[in-house]
Amino acid sequence: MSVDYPRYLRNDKLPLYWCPGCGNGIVLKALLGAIDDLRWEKDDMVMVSGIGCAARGSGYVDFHTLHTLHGRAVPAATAIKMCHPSMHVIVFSGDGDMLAIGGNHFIHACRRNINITMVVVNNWIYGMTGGQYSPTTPPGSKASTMPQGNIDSNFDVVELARGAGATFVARGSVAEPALLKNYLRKGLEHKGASVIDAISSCHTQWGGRNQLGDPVQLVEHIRNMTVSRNNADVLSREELTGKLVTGIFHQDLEKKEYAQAYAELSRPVEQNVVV
Amino acid sequence: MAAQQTPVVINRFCTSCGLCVDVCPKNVLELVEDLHVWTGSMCKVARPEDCVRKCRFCEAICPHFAISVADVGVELVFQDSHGQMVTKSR
Ligand SMILES: Cc1ncc(C[n+]2csc(CCOP(=O)(O)OP(=O)(O)O)c2C)c(N)n1
Ligand code: SF4
Ligand code: SF4
Ligand code: SF4
Ligand SMILES: [Mg+2]
Repeated sequence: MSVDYPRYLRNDKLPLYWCPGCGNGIVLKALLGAIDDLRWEKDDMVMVSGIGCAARGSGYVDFHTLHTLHGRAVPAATAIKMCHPSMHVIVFSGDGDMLAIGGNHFIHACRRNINITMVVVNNWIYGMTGGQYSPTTPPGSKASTMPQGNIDSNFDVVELARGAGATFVARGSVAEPALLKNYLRKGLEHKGASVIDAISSCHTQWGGRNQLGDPVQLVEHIRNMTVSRNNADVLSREELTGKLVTGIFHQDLEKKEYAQAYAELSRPVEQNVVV
Repeated sequence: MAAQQTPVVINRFCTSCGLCVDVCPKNVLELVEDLHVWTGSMCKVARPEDCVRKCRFCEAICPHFAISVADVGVELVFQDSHGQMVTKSR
């Protein structure tokens, strides 16, 4: 079945601002496809983003939306979830936004296991501001602030989120949009902090500095790097270096969700006041 | 009656990035010169009869909501930032 994308978009905001072939649109489309599968009502969702190219995504969807400050999407989303626990709260923002300036908020939302879906649109770079390296820039690759190659190690978003306590963690990429959509759907459905590391492609800022300045080339590069979780299990550590393992890595249905825990805490107090 | 389907490109949204052309397993799509747009070219459904229709790889990868596999006769209606209605059907 075809997805009726115009139904979910603010069509008067089109065409998209992103560069021709930017992966952010593929991630956004996969997210809308996942929402369409779930048949969620537009008015039951809030999409929150920080600042960056990816973060512009919230401006295009016809849900409740909030475009916050750089790095502050997650605390805003936390506040919305606490005030409106019945809302589906989605964070859609970049790797720099979520993991550099917003890294602290990110880990604590995971730790608390608050029921928000965090989509990290991970293009390995600060796209919007001119290609500065981010916490996910692959070691050795070039960025405007690492012209001789990145000397930093990069975060593994899956390990980071799982270690911090998120109860749903998956990774997909723009090279496999249909699978990415499935992971996003599972993450949306999950009741607890869910993190989807959505590997995106910025040919303009990352690709151009790394001989992958064409969008098709960069998506193919990502496709060649990608190994599904099942296939990765049989590969050795050496064989896996430089590979990008995709799939659902973690789901915990036992850990208490934060907004729920808070509601249970406050209920007896409210009763006392009434009595 | 099972509706027939065909890929449809919304020209105003197509950025000629080539991603759909790359993923199509049946070589249905093509970038063709179009000097009326800033990219200088445009995606064209060159061989619709070869389309397998069910794969929708083109639709899933298009970052600009510019290509959909739609039922023949159904109109895709977008209103872009210039206020113009964009409709396309076969
Ligand atoms: C407090 C603050 N510091 C810095 C900036 C400049 N700034 C805007 S976007 C951005 C990085 C965006 O990178 P990312 O989140 O990866 O998004 P992308 O553009 O790659 O999608 C920075 C540093 C800002 N807007 N606000
Ligand atoms: S600079 Fe990079 S992330 Fe930003 S719109 Fe262009 S390709 Fe996308
Ligand atoms: S639906 Fe499949 S076969 Fe048809 S144009 Fe799209 S990618 Fe090609
Ligand atoms: S993927 Fe979309 S924007 Fe890119 S060439 Fe195809 S129709 Fe045009
Ligand atoms: Mg980025």
